[in-house]
Amino acid sequence: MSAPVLQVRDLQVRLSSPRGVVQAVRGVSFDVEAGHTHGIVGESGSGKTTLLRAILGLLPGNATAGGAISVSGRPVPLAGGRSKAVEGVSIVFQEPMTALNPVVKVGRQISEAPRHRLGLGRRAARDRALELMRQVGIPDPARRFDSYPHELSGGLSQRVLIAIALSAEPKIILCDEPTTALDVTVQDQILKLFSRISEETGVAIVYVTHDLAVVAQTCRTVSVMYAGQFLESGTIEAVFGQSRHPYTLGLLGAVPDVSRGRTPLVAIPGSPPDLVNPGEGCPFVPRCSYARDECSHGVFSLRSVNHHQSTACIRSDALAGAS
Amino acid sequence: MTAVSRSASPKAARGRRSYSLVIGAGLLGVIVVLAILAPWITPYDPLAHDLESILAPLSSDHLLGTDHLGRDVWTRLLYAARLDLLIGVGAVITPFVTGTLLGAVAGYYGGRIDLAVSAATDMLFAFPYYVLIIALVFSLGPGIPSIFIAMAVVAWVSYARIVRGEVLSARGQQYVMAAKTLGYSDLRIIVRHILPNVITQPVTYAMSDIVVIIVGVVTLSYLGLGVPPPTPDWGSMIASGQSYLTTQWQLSTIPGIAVVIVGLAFSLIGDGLTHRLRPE
Amino acid sequence: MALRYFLRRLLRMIPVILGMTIIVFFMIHLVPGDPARTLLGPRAPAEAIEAFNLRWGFDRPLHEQFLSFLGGLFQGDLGTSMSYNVPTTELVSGRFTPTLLLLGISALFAMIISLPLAVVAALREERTPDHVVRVIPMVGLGLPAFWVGILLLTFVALNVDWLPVGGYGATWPDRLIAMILPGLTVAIGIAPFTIRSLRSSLIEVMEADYIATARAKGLAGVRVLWAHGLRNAVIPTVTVLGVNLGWLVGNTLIVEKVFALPGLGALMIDAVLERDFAVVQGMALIFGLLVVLVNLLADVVRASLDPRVQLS
Repeated sequence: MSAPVLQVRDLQVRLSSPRGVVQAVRGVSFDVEAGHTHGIVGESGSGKTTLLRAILGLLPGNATAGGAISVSGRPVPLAGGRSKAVEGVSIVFQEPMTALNPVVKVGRQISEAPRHRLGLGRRAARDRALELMRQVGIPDPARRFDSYPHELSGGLSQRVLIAIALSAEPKIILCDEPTTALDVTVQDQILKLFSRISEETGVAIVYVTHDLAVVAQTCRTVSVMYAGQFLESGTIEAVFGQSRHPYTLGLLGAVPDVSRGRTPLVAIPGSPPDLVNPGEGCPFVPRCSYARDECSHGVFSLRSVNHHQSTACIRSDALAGAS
Repeated sequence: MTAVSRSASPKAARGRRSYSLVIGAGLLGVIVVLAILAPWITPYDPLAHDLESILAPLSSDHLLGTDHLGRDVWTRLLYAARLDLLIGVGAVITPFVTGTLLGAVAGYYGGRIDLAVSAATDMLFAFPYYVLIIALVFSLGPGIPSIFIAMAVVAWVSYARIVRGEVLSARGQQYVMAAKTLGYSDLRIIVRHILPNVITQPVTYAMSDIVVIIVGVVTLSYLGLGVPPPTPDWGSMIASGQSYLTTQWQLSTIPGIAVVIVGLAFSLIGDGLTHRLRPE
Repeated sequence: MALRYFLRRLLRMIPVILGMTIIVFFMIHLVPGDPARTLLGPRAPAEAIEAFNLRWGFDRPLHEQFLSFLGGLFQGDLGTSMSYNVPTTELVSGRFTPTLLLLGISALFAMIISLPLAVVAALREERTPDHVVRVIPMVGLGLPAFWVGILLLTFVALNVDWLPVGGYGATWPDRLIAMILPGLTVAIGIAPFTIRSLRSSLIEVMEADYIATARAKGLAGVRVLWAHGLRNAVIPTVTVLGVNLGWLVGNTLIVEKVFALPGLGALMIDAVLERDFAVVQGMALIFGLLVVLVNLLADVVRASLDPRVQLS
């Protein structure tokens, strides 16, 4: 086993808001190795976006953080309000149309990091950008270099965003729902592109989404995030096939066989807890049909149930045969 | 033109806004009280020459000194406040009413009426503000009535534009539809149902318009087209003090500061109103 | 493509310009009574008024006067000065340069004033620097341009050797130096609008996804702000500048007078003071046309800044 390129240890992020302090991330730990793809699944508001920003080193100004993140062994500064991303980490956002600067030519947006961060000359940066555009499958890069974002289709824009993510020579690419805004065929192409890039360059990919099918299709390992915590973690086969947490089961809904195709997020009755004052015990208790009295007390963190899987559920044995 | 932006903490912003409303209203209140009480506050006559004490410096006798005719500057400043505030607030009423009504009618009915109102606003808007005002006051002859007419001709344009846009978007809303199905007359729908919902914008705009009008009046007076001397007015005070500026700095400086403070007061009120009246 | 857009815009201006001509012409006839009375004063003898009306054609029916005014315009005739008895066009020639120079420099100054203030406010939103910057436009709106000009003349120009106390230079370097204080005065007049607009659009832009993309590239904060933030935030501000052009140009009128710049504005105000009705009328029209044309220019500038705006 190679050394993990991304290590997150007991990460905690608190965001101050007019309502009070929101505990957006509450003790999250995971590793990702080079060339691997890790998925993080969760509903909106589960804290996954804040988690991504913490890894990028770009927490907002109202954030305070505890724990540790390291990229290739180097610690990531966790102070809020920084304006410059951590070296070696890139991100691909959800909406390609809004994630590209509308008034700057796409070629310039790709060559910007090589030129201004890696210190390449104008000519060399341009060549690098063209090479990246070829790599992400943009046809006729020399012509597209001078296009503006509004002149490109959604799929092409997403490829441009991926080229931008690659342009700073990252060790890790974070993907924040990168295909939700695209139609299905384009989505498949982009997912295949991610797999190819990961194989070719050895870059690690962290894939954040609420779309279980996307995770099943692209990731080797997955974590299920809820209320700022990981409730279950492990290989795709284990977590989706032999789930050991009621929340994961709820997400999988009535269709346990993810290979059958896109599985929509089935509505689970109830709503996630208020993270201003989450209280103790398992955060999923109010919505859990397996909950017992002991679930409302103590600290719940991941523990291994087997070689492939860990869960935060203390009643995981009761679930062993459920899925 | 009013900058409304997303704010990090709406609650804090709201509190601060009420603050600006309070400060603005307080400032204006003090100025208005001073202006009203002018005859009791100062013992001097704003028009009486006193050749014994020409260009007197600041002293306990003459708080802000005297001008080149020996008139007490503090006294003239207060009397000028009476006149300039009255013109500023008075001259905004006609354009506010006509502009709001024309804009509402244009936005509500659309079609030819809208085309005519929009064409008129486009044309008047193309002229530089002061060019139009000066040309109008010139052809009407200098003086306060001319200022009122000139402002009435020019200033309605902005209200018409603002209200037209608001009514245009309100026209399709459910409460208007509901009023229509109840068979209310157009006039009733416009006046009783639409206007109360869109009036915030023109009201807050009127606050900054008052500032613009006062500055306009002062400018006209400076050019000798506004309030005729010897009636005290901030513009003519600045103009007459200009020749003595190097030795008697206060003569032209202080009336200008008075204009700025009044402007700030109205702007603060407008800023506060924008946020106070904004629907949640 | 750009040329066709330009021509189409010019074509669409024709009714506006015609309307402006009507406004300018009938402005003088707003006067209750007749223009001669207003211009010559209430005590003027009847013969003088009659002679005046005959000389300037005021005895003819109104529509006939308008048609001859319009006909004159088509031949490039803006009327004849009553004070100097020369064509207005002759008085106007040579006066465009100072006014256009003043306009350009004040727009530049306005941007130079607004940029740092807006940046500071936007980066420290809802904190002390932002509160200070938000009050500046409120103070600025109430500043009479002529008063600012007088103060700058007295307290700056008189104390700084290389700044002229009004007037216009003979050489280009002199002219540019002569524009500094007037340009600053006009810029202070328009800055309330540009500061406000730039601040709010910058705050909005800095929350956009593409700013996050730029940051995620690992670019320095200054580069993100300059190359991605301001480039986008400036676009609506150019529009605001265009919308408030009437205010901007109107202020140049007063400022030219204060600083004794031989521009179009000073000519108009002098004509007003000399009761030269024909020149006032001609100048009002010239200023109207000027605003319409500069507005077109603002559109072109905006289109060049924003690739999404199609010029076709």
